[in-house]
Amino acid sequence: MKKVTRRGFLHGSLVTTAGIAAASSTPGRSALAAGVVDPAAAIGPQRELVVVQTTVNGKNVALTVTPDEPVVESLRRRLGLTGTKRSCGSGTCGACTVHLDGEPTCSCLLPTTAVEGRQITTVEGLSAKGPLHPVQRAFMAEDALQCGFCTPGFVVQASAFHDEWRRVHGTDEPGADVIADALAGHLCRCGAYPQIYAAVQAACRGDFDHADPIPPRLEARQKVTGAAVYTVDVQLEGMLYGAVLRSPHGHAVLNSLDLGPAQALPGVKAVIRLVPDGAVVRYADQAIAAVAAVDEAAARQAVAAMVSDYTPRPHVLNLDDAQAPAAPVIWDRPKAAPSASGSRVLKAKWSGNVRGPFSSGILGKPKAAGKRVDAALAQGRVAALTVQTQAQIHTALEPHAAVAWYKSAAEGTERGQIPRPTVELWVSTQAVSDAAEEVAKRWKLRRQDVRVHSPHTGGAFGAKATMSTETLVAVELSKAAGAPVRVVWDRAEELAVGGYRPAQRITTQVAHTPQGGLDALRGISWTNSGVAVGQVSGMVARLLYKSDYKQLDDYDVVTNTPPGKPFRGPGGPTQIFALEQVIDELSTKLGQDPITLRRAWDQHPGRLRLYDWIESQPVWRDRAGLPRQGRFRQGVGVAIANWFTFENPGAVVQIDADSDRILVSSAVQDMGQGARTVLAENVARVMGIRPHDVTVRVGDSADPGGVASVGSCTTLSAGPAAAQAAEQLVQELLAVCRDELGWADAEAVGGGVAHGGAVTAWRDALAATGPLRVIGKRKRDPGGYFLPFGVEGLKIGKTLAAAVQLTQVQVDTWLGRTEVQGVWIGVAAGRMHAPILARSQVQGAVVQGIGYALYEERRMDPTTGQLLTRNMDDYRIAGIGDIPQITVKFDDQPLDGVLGGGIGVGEVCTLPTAASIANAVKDATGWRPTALPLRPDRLLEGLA
Amino acid sequence: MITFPKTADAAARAAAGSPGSSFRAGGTDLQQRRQLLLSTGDLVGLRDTAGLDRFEVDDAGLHLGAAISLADVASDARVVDGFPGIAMAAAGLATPQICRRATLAGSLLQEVRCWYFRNPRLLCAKKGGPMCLARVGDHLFHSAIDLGPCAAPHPSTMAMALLAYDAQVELSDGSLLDIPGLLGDGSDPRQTHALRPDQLVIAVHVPLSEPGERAAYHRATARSRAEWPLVEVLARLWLDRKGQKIVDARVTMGAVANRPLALPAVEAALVDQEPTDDVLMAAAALAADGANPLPMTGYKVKLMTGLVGDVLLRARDGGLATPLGLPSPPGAPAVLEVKP
Repeated sequence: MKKVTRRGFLHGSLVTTAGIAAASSTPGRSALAAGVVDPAAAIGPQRELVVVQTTVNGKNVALTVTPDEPVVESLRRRLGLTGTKRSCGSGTCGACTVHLDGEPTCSCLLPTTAVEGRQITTVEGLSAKGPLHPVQRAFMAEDALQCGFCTPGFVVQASAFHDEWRRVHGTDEPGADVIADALAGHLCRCGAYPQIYAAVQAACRGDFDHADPIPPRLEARQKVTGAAVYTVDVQLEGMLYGAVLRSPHGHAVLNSLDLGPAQALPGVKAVIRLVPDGAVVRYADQAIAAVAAVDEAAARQAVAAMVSDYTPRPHVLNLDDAQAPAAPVIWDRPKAAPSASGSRVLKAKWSGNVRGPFSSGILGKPKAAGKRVDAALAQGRVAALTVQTQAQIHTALEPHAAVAWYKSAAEGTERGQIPRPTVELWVSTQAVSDAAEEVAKRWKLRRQDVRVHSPHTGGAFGAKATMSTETLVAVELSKAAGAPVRVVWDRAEELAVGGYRPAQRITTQVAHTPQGGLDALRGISWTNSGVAVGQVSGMVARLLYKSDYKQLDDYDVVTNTPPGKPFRGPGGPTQIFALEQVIDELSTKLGQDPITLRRAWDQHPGRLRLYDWIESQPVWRDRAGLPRQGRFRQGVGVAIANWFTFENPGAVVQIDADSDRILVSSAVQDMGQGARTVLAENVARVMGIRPHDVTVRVGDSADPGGVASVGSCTTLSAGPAAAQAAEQLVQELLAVCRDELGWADAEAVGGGVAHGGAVTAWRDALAATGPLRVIGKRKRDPGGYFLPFGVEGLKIGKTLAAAVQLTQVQVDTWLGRTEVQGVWIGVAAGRMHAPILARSQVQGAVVQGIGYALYEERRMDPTTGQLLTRNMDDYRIAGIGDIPQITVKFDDQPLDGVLGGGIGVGEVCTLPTAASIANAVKDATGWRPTALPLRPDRLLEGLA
Repeated sequence: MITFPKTADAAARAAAGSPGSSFRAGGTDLQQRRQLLLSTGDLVGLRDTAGLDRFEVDDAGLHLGAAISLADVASDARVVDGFPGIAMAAAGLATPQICRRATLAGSLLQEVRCWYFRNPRLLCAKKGGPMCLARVGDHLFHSAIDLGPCAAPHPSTMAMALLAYDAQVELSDGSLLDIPGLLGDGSDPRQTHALRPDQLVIAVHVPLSEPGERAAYHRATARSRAEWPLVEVLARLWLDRKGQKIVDARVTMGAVANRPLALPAVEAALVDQEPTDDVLMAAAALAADGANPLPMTGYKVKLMTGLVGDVLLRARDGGLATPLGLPSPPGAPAVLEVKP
């Protein structure tokens, strides 16, 4: 090992330190609240480089690194091995796991200097010798992955477990507990855990020792080998690194901001400010300024060198404080409040920090509903509950990320064209086409001069639907610096400003008629979307039980917290948590079985069939025998939910077919929900070939189409467009065969063209006809729509997706822990375009619902307004050991009114989970939870 | 600057010569604190330092080098058989990846997991600020036996386990400290342990156990695995040959105070008693004596008695408690009434 010292390697560290020291000692420079410090003061000089000799995937390499550089950065930046992902940065999520001398180790906390003389194997190295590892094959075959961002870590860990297990136990199958122990250091936000169990067991049984399987998910191979490229993996020549200065105050006026010290640093290429002097900063971690520099350390150092001065104002963080008489008014111009829904904010009354009500009962008889509930209250015909929920952070394992390359007119234009600037971007997004449009509009460019790529998106869940600050900052910095700029939130930033499901308080009252029918429903919701407004949730409670008498009012209560964003079934899990517990109470009150009552009130034909399936489950039939006394108590609970059918009528799919390939392209994106596979399945079905015979390109805004993946609309919008394109391709090909090749009797059959008594495979027919291009557009649904016009570009279908969930829990009354022992979920959403992927998505929705019900909670510091849950130890998502068997049943009767026969399932299945867990806890203990998450302290208090 | 001394003495000298420096062994906690700029001084890397990897059992007991990994502590048959509580504690903490890198000494000397301490923009008492921000802020996961200015519970599961085993910690200057001596009294909020910057842990020595030990460790958490404990407890019980009398007992508890605690009152209530459910529960009911919880940590008082009861049962029964049919929690009525 050789030591190298190079003065000023990290770009003027001495200057920086001196500058900071001077700034820190200036009296009155900062009005930071007590206890708030500027991290700048802590930065020390670091100019030292160490050369480390090590072996990576069998090759000797020399790495020149700073003493603190972790192996994950060395692998990704210096060796281009981007299969190893950096996600939590704190050794919690395991996405960065590599083998160190054969032992799985977190490379984010492993200093590169520690691997001198040792052997590292990354995911790329698992199959470097050729064949895939059995665990990789099993993950592919069992669909043990969705977005794929955590997959390399899981695969690296599971391969070591598999090899050791096989050595000791042969082909015995390991139990779930053993697997959970081995994989306890990995987190999967998509919730692929049920299939991960299945994959590890299958690999250990020896099912995948020999051949590669044909996976149900088209891109599975890229994801298990680390070859799939995400935005965070993009490295361009001359690329700069961005970093953002953020407010340390929950509420303050920015008096002044001096960017000079940052600009003066060597290595700094651009500095921009995002907030003018004198502006009000309304939440902690609000972006104030940004910098682009030659590496991350230099960028961070430049941010630390900026000198800002604030006058703090009182802040409010929660519903009660924001409505207190003395509360500071956060928006003096209410129109400035941003949208929490991603859609246009409708007009509503404001009073202080409260906006509303917005009435979702307007289509029925809300006033009469209120009177009916009041009358029923007087007669004791009402069940009611007030629930309080927490902010749930999306926590995609790929954080918000953008790489922007703003090419000025001169460099971006080919000869002979009018010079125009162009922008090329990689964005971790669920809407490549919308992102291109937003960028074009904001920077006054032509849409065709902006191109957005998102070949793979590492989880989104609603947080990446609209353009957010990382993209804005990346484009501005790139424009200013004249070079590509990468901006990636670190985990603390992601947890702070990446988005969250708003906390709510909901009061729900359900009145029954003297005969036991539904009389009227009243629900009032107060929603804390931070500084944002307009996320309507009462609408969800409207969907379940038929009655004209519903009064559902939504109020926004603005606070000094970051803007909320739509999160998988926005407004849904909270409303269902309230409503479905009230229905449970009502069934008790009426002396009815909870399913009997729902059967009587429910109108959904698909779910009426699924109740039979639920009732046939042994756990439901035998529930009377569960232990409900003593330390460990068990219970079962049921809840149902419906969700809207949204369709994007602009879905377009193009097919370019020739003798080499059938290329299907559309500007949709795959965040793990399976867009690639859905397109391939639809084309393959029409042509009578296998999905893997089709090549699919998504995640490129230059392609036709442009369906944002929001509102569970991707499959039912793009799937039929793909089928339509394939049908056109077949017709076109037959026409050419008949008219130009003289195959007068040409007919399409599965796999090719029949003529003259033989079948010519598509590939050979295409060789004869020459390349063909067709464009398929989605046609209108034969069943029509709920409204004649679209809303925000989406049409609302007449059908509702429906789910019913049965959950068994065990409650430890000593230690306050609630364990989910089993989940049975029935889903009525028509025919599934890709059934195995749909099952994965349903399981993932339940996994997120379990996390929401029991563990996840954003917490903010009441004193400073700062986020406290800044890492993934403190922000707790469910791990593999928390997830039981999740049995999924589709009522797969095709929906006649919908092209393709089926609708989306991604959202509806996360709605009933918290409610069914709560009903199960009530069944087990007699105590009804009203606050989420159901932490041990709450359970102990409830049972006291 | 980083150096890689070859000997413990040289490492200690390097640290002595560089105020603010840190020893780096596995690096798991330190790397995180470096990222957060909570540690910014020079590094004394222990990668090449000899003499920190002793692993043997002799007549005097178990000798574990400072740099032995927690995974090895958890899985080595000599520890599992002779010092079961230590193995169980090592197996029950963190994640498999962390345990493979994290060292025994590092786990003893890691920093608190407080979300104020680990927020680089906040200046708490542990970082030299005027007050503990958790006390006036959100301390849901903090102490319930409040013994010092810093409200964060001590993070070391291994310290709690080694306290129950009366371990001695050997330092580079030749001195020996017991666990309370190593961790100090917490009166200075900046200190999570009592070592001077130039004192390097060399090894941990654990005396041999009397025969007949039954041990158990468990932590209360919301999730099933990989979570910092709300409360954690280790119990060692020695029964007579017929299994009818508790001859001796050691019970320690963590995650409730700024240092792990021995529970002498619980131990005294067990010794010379029959190991019946009633005796164990009556002893467990004493576990929260002296608790003075913060406004948000009152729930830990219930957890302490519940978890001590759980762990005593596990220890007596020589393994995992059966999930059903156990008696009611200590201090609670025999059957909790099911509310309508």
